[in-house]
Amino acid sequence: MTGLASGPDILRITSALSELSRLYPWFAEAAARHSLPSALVQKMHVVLEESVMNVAMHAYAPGSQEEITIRLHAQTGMAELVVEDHGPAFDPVAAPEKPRAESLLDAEIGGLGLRLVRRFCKDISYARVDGTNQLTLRFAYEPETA
Amino acid sequence: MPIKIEDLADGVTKVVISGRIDIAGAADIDMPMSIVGGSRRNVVIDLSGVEFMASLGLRSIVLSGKSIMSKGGKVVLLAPQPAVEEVITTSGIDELIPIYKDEAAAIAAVTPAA
Repeated sequence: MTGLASGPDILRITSALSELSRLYPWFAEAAARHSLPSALVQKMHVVLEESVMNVAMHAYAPGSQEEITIRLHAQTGMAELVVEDHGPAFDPVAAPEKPRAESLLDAEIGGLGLRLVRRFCKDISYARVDGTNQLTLRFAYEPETA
Repeated sequence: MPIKIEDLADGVTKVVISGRIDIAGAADIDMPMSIVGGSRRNVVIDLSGVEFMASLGLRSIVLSGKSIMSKGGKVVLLAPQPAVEEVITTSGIDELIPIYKDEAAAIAAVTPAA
């Protein structure tokens, strides 16, 4: 279905925060259709939410309703989420990671999401294509045997 | 509401969070967690009923925990499900707020010395 304007594995939402509630129902249904194992689905959902929230909160002006497109590709043993936005160029792969805090009182809140995304993905790549930020998040898994 | 606040004996407070603490869930717990941070000193945060949590929910817990510790209080996490525990340990939050599997041990860890 890849390449079609819309399809079961493509979700288009706007950057309004209220739209983010559409992520999980879409992803849960698509993940079930591809028989992705539940432990992987949990990790992918965390990564999906962090990545899309990052776009909604930082790529676009607060309160704006710009488009964000999410695609899921899955084949045996490998799943991939692609998040696209047309905000200013931003490469989260190159962003520096903050060091872990020594104590709770020193803890800084920012950077938690990025740390989770980096640890949960097997591979992350970023490309700027025709004015679009394209973030590709790859996951490896052991297919569940029937 | 995915959060319940119970005051136990010896000045200990148990905060029970449940359900999906995604973007909407995090918005629901933000204010109550901030109240707990501002008003309680010995806190057990029971996560056993949480099915999903990402960084916004963690943020709310860490902010509340910072507030409790800045007053010399104590805070621990109780019994997260495996997927939620993985989010907590991967982000390193367990090094700042310890995780207990057992409720009695968690309560004992935050109970002020008599």
